[in-house]
Amino acid sequence: MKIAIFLKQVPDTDEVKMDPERGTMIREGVGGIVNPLDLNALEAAMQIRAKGDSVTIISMGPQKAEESLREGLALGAGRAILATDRAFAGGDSWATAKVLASILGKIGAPDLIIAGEKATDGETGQVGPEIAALLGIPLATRVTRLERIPDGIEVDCTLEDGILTQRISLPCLVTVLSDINALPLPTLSGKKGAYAMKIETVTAESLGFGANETGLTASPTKVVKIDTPKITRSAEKFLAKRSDELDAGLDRIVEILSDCLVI
Amino acid sequence: MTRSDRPEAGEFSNEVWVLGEDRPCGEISSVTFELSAKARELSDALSSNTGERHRVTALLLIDSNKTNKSNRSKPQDAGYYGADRVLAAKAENLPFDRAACARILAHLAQESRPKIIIASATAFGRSVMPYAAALLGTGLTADCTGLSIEPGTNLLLQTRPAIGGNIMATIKTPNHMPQMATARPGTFSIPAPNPEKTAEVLYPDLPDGLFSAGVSTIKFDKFTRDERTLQDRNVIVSGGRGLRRAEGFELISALASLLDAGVGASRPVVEMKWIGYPHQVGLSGQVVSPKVYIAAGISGTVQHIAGMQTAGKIISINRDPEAQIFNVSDVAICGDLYEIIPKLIERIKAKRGRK
Repeated sequence: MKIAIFLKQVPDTDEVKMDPERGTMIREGVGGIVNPLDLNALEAAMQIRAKGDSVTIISMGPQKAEESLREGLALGAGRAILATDRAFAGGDSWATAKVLASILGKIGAPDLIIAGEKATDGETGQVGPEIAALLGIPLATRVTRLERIPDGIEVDCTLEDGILTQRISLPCLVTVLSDINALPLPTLSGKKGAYAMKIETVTAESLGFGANETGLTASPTKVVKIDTPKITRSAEKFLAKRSDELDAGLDRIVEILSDCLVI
Repeated sequence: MTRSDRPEAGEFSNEVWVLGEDRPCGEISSVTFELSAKARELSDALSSNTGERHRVTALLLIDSNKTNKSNRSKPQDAGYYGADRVLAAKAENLPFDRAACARILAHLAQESRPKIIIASATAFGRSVMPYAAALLGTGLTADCTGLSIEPGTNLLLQTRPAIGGNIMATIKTPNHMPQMATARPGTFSIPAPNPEKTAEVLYPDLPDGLFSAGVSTIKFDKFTRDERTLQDRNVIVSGGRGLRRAEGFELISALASLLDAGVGASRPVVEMKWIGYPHQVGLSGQVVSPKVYIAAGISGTVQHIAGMQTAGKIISINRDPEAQIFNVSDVAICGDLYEIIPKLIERIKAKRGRK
């Protein structure tokens, strides 16, 4: 079985700024980590893989995203591909999905694609389902249990109101939530091995994309305005160590709860 | 199948679509009504701006093996909230075969050519909408908190929080149709139903090729009342690191059960395994909008606040007078939650006793 995983490098702080002109994130100068759910996806692949299976990790981003792939190799992936090109920059989820799907086409369609449910920076959760659509394969999202069965996989999907168990034949794409497993830790020997491994690079040209077919210009959605809203409320404050204030505060809470017909 | 070239405006019909939802019991989910009302507003704006009548269609994907046992809501009810027409597509394995749902949506949208399709950002909407958007070769904006029509261009303005809710981005899909967006459940208000207004219900024929081979649903285990999603709760009581120990959740649960409230938690305590992931409130957990949100021992990181800031009333209890959570609260009590919450419980019981 051929398994493919996407690793996105995301900023490791909440301090990201937006470029108000282009409406895209400024990533320069911010440290990067692998999107945590993508590591859950990789760990799921490691747990499900059998002898003879291959696990390929793919990332799209600046050259620096190589660090994320190196981490994935240290965790046991066998092959790493980095899609890096200025022409990919600023792409929305559709433009991103197009590039990632074309890489899968180029390396030979995998049997199973495991993706994190969403990334901590963009938070759209759209790229996985969009890739499934471009490949025309079944999709299961929010997977919290993944098992191999003779002709495919069996999954539990944790939805809002219950747990859905499905059997899906291959090829298919699933997205995972953090409950599926514990985040893996790289071993020293894994890290050493990873440094000797090659990371393949692909570009817009090598994937056969023409000018304006990728990135910001090819994105159907355009950010037209950025606002920084104030989300503050002016709280009535009560200091509990003063018993009169505590009393007043508790009265106020009870009043709010009865106004909302809760008590 | 993809269309990257700019369509002529005339190619698209005067339709605004809602991808509705039905629950496993067969009842129509309230998000359908919420979005039907929003679509009505968008459709009316387009009608008045263009002088051409626009109409609202709600699409429902219904499992043909199930009968609506609840009888509490039926497809035509979408009319009471603003839909002119309901397309009820029935087939096996809907709505759980997400790829099939998306193909049906894309197929019907290619036939009717709506200008706009909106859906709820639920597990269902977040799977089906991106799949369908990619099939239609168009853009999609996730988790919008505002949707309106831009005067002049008549394009859909899609506003969504970005970067942990610190900024709001307004997004347009200027050169592609349909313009697609999802909104978190509860983002828009549901108006009182207008029983005078009914929708025409149509059952479209679906070609065979739309269904995924090889997806079979084994079972759906519905959560019990206690496992209900936080998003369905009127009140949520959440605990954070200020509880200082896992057992602190017993106190949180005691208050919650008194209020028939859900129990929420901040990310650090979920990571420490004091409580399970389904309880996590915040961007990496659940985004909630209850009538009352009580945060006990939660400092209020950006990622937590972005998950609860739209609550009706926010009450916070924290020992740290500088806690960020106080800045987004309506009532803030500075002190030890182990002293305050038992007193609050007493007070609520006393009030009930007097009734």
